[in-house]
Amino acid sequence: MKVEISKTFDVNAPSKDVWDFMTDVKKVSTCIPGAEYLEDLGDNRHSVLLVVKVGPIKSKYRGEVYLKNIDEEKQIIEIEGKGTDIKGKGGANMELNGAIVAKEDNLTEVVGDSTVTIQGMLAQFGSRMVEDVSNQLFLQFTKSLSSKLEGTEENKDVNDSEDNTLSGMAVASAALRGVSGRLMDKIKGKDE
Amino acid sequence: MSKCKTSPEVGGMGHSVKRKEDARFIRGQGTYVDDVVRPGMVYMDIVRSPYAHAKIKSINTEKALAHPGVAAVITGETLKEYNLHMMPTLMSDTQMVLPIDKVCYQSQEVAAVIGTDRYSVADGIELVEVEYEPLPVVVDPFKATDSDAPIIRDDKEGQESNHIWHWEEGDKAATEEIFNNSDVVVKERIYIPRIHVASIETCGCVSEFDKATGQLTVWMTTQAPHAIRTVLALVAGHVGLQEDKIRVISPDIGGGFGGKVPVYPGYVIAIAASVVTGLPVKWIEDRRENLQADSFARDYHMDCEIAADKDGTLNGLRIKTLADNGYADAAANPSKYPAGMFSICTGSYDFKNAFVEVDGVYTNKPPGGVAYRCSFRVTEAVHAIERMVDMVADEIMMDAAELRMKNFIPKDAFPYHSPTGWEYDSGDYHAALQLAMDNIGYDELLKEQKEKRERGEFMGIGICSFTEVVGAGPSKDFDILGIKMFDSSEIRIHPTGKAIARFGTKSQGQGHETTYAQIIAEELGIPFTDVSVEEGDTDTAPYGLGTYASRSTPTAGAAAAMACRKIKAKAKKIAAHLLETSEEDLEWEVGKFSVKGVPDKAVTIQDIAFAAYTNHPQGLEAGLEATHYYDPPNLTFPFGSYIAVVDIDSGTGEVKVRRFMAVDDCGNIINPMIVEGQIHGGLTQGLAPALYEEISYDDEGNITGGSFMEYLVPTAVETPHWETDKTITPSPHHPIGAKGVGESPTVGAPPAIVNAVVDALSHLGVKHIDIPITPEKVWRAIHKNEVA
Repeated sequence: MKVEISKTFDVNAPSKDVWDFMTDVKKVSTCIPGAEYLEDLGDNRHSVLLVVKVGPIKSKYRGEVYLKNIDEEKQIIEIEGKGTDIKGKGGANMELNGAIVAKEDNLTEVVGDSTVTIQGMLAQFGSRMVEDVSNQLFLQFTKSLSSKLEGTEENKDVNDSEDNTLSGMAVASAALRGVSGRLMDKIKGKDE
Repeated sequence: MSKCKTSPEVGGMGHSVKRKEDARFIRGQGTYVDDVVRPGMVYMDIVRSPYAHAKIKSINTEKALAHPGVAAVITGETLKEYNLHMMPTLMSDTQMVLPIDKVCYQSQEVAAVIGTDRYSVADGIELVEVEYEPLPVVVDPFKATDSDAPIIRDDKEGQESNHIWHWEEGDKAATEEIFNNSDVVVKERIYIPRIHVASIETCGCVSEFDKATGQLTVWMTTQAPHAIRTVLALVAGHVGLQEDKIRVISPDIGGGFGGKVPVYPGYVIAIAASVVTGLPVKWIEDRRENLQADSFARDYHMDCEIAADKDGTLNGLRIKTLADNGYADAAANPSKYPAGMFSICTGSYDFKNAFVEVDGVYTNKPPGGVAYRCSFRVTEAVHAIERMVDMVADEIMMDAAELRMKNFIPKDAFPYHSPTGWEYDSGDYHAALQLAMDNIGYDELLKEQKEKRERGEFMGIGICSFTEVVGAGPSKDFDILGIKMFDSSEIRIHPTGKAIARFGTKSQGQGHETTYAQIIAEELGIPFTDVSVEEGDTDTAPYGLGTYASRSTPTAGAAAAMACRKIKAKAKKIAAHLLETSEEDLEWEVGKFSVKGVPDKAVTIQDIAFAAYTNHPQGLEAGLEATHYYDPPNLTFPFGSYIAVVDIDSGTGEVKVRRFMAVDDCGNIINPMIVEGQIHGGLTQGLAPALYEEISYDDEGNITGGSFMEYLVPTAVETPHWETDKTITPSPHHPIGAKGVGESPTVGAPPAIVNAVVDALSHLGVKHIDIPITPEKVWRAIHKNEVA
């Protein structure tokens, strides 16, 4: 299955700081729940580990992140990621186009468009949840990123589970909130 | 058959006697494969592929083997040592048992774990680490033959594309000529998606090999135990398994519907594991494995065209079909034609000519398919013709019933030779449709629909007048590995007049223990309660090809009648001896021979049975038994007319089947209650694909309909009240005039429901909707003009 995710968010930090942070895979991976940076493979390729727990399914993906294009002048970045479950339960590929836009001195907009292709168990059973899971992942990521760049790292998100894996319970409850929120919107007659 | 020949106590044909097998089933005392427990038995579970197409880079079994409950992990490399990693399919194709270097569909078997208990092997499969390298995937069969499509079967020499076969039937030029000279041509692409039989019991086996005697016993969920034994002997002869040392036992079966005809890799792995270890090995699929990896049914993309005249005369039919076979052509198709009996698609109508062609392709999906409660590809054929006839009616603005009546093959035209080569045995299509229309009040429904339409309500009436082709089958059209498709009955009358009858078929819930006994009761006058019926054990039952394609009554039922007649001929000799008269002076009346004109001077079949062991005439062998192998001279052609009435909620798109009238004609009826039960079940299994069921795939080949969360099997809540009736047109060539009924309702129900839905929406310009007709599809059809 393919999931397309487009996100824009603001960070209260100078654009250069954001750019430096976002092009450093090691730093970025500290913001992704369940992610662990393994090694620099050279040539803009990095090896990472990602643990995702969705309900009873705990998947450990070993992946490679490739910074395909880093254009500092235009402030755009193209990233390719691919990962496979280390037990052979499936895999995922990601293509991400990111852009950094300086809005004010201390305000930067981050724009990200990504397409994620999922194969295996997660695609079969998680298809109804993946969008909500992605949103939740993203939310945790931006919070963590903001706190690191804005220097408020102590304010850990309450949803962060202790072992820093993407917590199944947190994701599931957030996903359920997402679903029930949409339902409520429909009942209230709101357009999606 | 207006009147029963036998008393209710004897319970011959036409009596709705209660099913003998239900005494154990309703008490939960049936014996299914998973009930079989053998001393020292070990368990097996299967590692399955998450990818639809991928190279296998490595399989690491170390961690699994370290688990205390895991005894062994079997991979393709293990089986290759015995040359058992590949197996032949019924369609002369090959199929992996376990892969060596790549997987070709999601959920494909990758490795098997053997262990001491069910829990350990479930844990064990989690510990097997497989490294894959994903390959490009072929999901859309229309893109399978593109020049840039990856070749799925690169293991097959000379296979340079994903095209498997082309097959055609009928006169192409003559049909073309008809199309050029007709007033109207109606065209539509009709898709029947992949569905699954989803029987209550999943597949599995217990395989036990005795190293001392070389005897292999396999308890197996199979509809065709004898055929399986022969196949096993043919493919595993080289490892020392010969047919006399193989015993296949098919115990009670919890629903087959065609899904238990194929040989799945799991069976072969379990058998191999038991032969290697000398231990009994149990393998039982879970529900997901069953839905995702076992053979599918249908998956036909049909480009249909009908040529007709403005007055409603149907002239010609043309269908070009793309068959999505998945990774291998492993169809459970015993006919000699790759598309089975699809050329029956001219249906109940007297077309001047027809031309049918089918192309089979490989895709990265599980192999199959099975004839889900139908003779192979009949459901697809009936769906195509019954949809298209309605489209013609819509095009020329003629009533759908009137159009059918005008074009039905007339009653006096039987035996009828269809333009695609079939000889229909008997039929009275006008009578069946008329009865259905009278029963449901067709004219009043039309009036009601008109009024509702004026009020903006959506109500539809749909007809399906199907002709079925069952009872596989005559050897000119059928064989399995060259074995002709006869079936058998062996009947032995004990001295006390009770009997045991054994058959080459295998009931999966159809009620054979009752209906076969009733045929014997009818023929010999022995009460049906005095006849024990046995099937499914290759050591005891006579050779037969099994139960599917509604073939049990047409073949084994006929064999029972013929065996009874052999017994009766001998009984007559004994009766003449007992009554001290000549055979010519005797007459038969249910259960006894009497001297003509002296009805008091008679001997019952029970008297004769006793005499057969105690006082048989000199020169005549003792005993009273006979065996008959019945090779049918032709297929049988049951038919029927179904009318569905649906109401549609325009707000939600939900379709509600308000009424459903099913008039069936299956020839002479053995047990009306069982026939009605078959029809109720079959109609529900026809409702299912019409509105709910589909095994679907996304672009990467992930199964998106692979659990009961997505694969919606109708429950009592969704199932409407079925109204049934019958006409009786006996088969002229069958010994008891019966035709078989198991599959008619599954075949006939979907087009009736689709026709009703399309009829409800026809004034909006809706011409066709593919099944399953989900609320979303209906909602979109209703609102497509409103939404910008």
